[in-house]
Amino acid sequence: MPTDARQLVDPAFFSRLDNLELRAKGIVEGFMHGLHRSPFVGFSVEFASHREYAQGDDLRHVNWKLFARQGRLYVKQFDAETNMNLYLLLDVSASMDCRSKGVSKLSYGSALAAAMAHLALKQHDAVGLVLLADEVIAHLPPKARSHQLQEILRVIDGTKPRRTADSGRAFQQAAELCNHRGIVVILSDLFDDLDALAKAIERLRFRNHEVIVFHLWDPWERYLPLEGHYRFHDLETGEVLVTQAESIRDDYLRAVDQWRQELETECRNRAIDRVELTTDEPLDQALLDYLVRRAKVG
Amino acid sequence: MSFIQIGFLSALLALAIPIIIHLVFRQRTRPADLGTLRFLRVVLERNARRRRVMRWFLLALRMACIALLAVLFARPYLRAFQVSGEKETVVVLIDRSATMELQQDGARLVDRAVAETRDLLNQATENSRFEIAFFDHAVHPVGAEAEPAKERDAPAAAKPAADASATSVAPKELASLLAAPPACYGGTDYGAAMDWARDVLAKAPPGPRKLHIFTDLQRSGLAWSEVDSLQDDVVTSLHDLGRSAVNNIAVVEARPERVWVRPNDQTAVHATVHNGGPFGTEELSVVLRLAADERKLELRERVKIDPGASESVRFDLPPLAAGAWKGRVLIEAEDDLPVDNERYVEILAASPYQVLLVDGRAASSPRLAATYFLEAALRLAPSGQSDPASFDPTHSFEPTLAAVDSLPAKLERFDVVLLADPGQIESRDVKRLDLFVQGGGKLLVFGGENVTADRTANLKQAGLTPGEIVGVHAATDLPLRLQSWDVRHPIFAAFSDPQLGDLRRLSFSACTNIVPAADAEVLAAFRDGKPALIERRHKKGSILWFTSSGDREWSDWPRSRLYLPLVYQLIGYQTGLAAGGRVRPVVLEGKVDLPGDMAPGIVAGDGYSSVVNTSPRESETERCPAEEFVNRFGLKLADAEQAPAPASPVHASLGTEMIESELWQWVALALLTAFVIESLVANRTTA
Repeated sequence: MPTDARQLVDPAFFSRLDNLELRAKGIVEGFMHGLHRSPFVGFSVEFASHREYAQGDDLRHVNWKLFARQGRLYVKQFDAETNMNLYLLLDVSASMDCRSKGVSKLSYGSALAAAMAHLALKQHDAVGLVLLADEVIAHLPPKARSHQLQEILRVIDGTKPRRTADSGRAFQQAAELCNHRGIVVILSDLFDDLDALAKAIERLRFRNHEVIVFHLWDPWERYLPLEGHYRFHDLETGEVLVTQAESIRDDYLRAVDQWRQELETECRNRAIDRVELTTDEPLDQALLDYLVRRAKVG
Repeated sequence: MSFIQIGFLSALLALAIPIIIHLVFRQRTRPADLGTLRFLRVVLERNARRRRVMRWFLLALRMACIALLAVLFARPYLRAFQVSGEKETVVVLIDRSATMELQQDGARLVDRAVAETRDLLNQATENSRFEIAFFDHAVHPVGAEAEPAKERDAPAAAKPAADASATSVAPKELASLLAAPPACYGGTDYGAAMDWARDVLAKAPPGPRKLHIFTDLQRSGLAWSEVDSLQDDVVTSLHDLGRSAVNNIAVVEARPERVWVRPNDQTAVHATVHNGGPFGTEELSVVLRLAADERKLELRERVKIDPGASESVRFDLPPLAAGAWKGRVLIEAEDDLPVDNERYVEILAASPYQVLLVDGRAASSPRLAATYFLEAALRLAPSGQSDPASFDPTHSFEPTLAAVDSLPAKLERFDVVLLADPGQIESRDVKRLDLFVQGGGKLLVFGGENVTADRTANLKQAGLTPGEIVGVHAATDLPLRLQSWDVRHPIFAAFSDPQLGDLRRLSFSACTNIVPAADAEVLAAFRDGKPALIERRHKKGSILWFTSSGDREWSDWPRSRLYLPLVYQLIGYQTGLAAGGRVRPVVLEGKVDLPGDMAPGIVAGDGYSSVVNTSPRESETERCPAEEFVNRFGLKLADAEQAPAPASPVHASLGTEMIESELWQWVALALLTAFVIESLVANRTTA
């Protein structure tokens, strides 16, 4: 393990760890180390202790009576308890196998899913997992059991990317499996028909889930930082296109931006957070977004 | 369009290279996996047509680059075609050197040349434009002064003109102007003639260019100077008028031991006689004839000369009475070329230059006089002028001392009057000095304490000062030193080499401050900008002012080793000795600085005489083969140019000469442009 815990959230580092559990724990510990006196620690209903108020603490948790007696601000700390369901929807379509920098989107999404599961389970939330391709490949209902993490990791670890023609249908199936209200985290590159995708997400919102979409990109897909002649291969369809990268880069980026804007509009209309991540970015932002949304639900 | 290095066009086969690269490299791509190609597909479908066009355009550009490169190395040029309206330019060079005086079939060679030129002019069409020039050691264009000649109603004759780029005159008018010179005596300089022809042809309008040369192909004319080749498309007709065998006996040298002697001094004349003919001579009389006014002198020697050999004779002269002894050395024999049978000589039996030294300061001791050092310098004046024979150090200057208030009665007998620190001069004497200078006399003035505005007022009034005299300007912190001078001026030419003395080393404690007049010329200045030497013309004469003193009053320079040569140069300039003295030999060859068209003889100048003789090279009648002449000047003869052919086949095949109509600059420009466009297009084109 590296001496600097912050390195644990670096994808280049965790990609070298074979053990997914070790990855998940390392990522979470590295992330927590960076939070210091975070307001996200312990949001439950069972009181545990007091601590001095720190800037950013929720005023709802200030003990005003204690403030009246002692003239100093204290916030109440609670023991966590299982009151939230976290559904992790991981896209395992072939397009998630894109790995220009050594880390595939699937690997990156898997690590992120494992880390969030580990984090949630530490807070006694119930965590479930759905693997998606053309249809739901695997499903673990949300549970807060101590060995739920091992179950999740086992399922993730055993999966292989597979070609997908219509992931919209899989998302709709997954929505059916998310019965209880909770947080739905979608880890996908979303390379599918936008309408089908929107309908599936619509269904999740219909069930009152908080939905966070972690939109995963490979750097090549996002920026096309290539020079020279390339034979581009579509991992999903097997299609091949030969072209000179630098000459079309500007047009390519414009097309990508246009699609992102359409996607963003669809998500915003449905009050869905869409967080873009490229596989060479640290995972802090993803975990932080999760915790913010978690706090909102709690 | 034709090509000089046509073999390089085989490089056009390399056009296949971009095609191969285009096809091969299209297949050589690197793989890249992407999650989706939806975005790429959108882009490529949108720009498919444009990309296809650009791809072919890029291929065409690359092929064009290679083609242009091959064409560039093949050196394309445009052939000169005579199209309607274009004028043919014909340049005619007619040799009028001394050897063109030779006769053949009862006519002089130069007359035959002129007659043949007239034929050319008569056959000329309206599209022909003629430029004709006679040449010897210089070039004399015909018709350059046709208009002024008409105005003066002068006889139609060849008029020399300094400007080689004379305006063209109609052929018929040229024919009327064309006339053979009455006598030929110049040297031969083919280089100058070819330079002139090349310049004229370069300025010719588009169209065929021809050159006709009428000459006797005298070999000695080849050696003068290096010249550039003519333009490659100039077709030359060489008209060889020379005679195969010439019987010529010439006086190639006539040199007095001293051209200037004191009256009743003795000297000698050396003469060299050359037999350029194929046969030896019998006893031949070589005669020296001299005359001074009514007095005559004739000396005679006899020599026998083998063919191709030279013999020297010496004429020991008796004591010569005062006067200018003018005459010639001649041979009493008949040959084919009479012009070189005599050479002119002049010996001047006269006293040296008379210099009047006027001391402006009454001194108790001669050594304290302002003229003490000047007189000493003149008596010790060194040799080292351009022609040592014209100068005898013991005789060149004869100084006469006088006080400022007792000038000699006759100033006219002096060549130069030198005023040293002149103070108040009587108005009567000033008037005499004024008349002396107006009549061509020379005045040299040195400054000093006496030279103030008040005291020199009458000199100024007479125009004998070079400007406004302000007064004495004394050096303050540093001594005055000469800072700048006109190195091309005859006075300072001797100091152009620092080895001979650096004038900056001279230091002065003061000088006379003079504000030069508008027509005065400052020849040298001190470090602070004050004039040191000023010259001003005054009617026929001139005045020269050195603003510091000529003695040790303001400087220790009389003790400097530069004092003597500088004083000598100042007086030598005023007397004319620096320009060559009273007798100046001139040989008609090379670049001769003579006014107008000077024939051999003794020509009187302003205070001197020029002894003009033909070039001894003209006596060398050996001829060169036409091939040698052609090769020497890189000519393309008309005989070898019957059918139209690429310009300059000889030089073109060598690839060493530049053809005027070459297009490589434009091809290079096109190639560069193609490269730039290719790099721009290549970065923006999808394969």
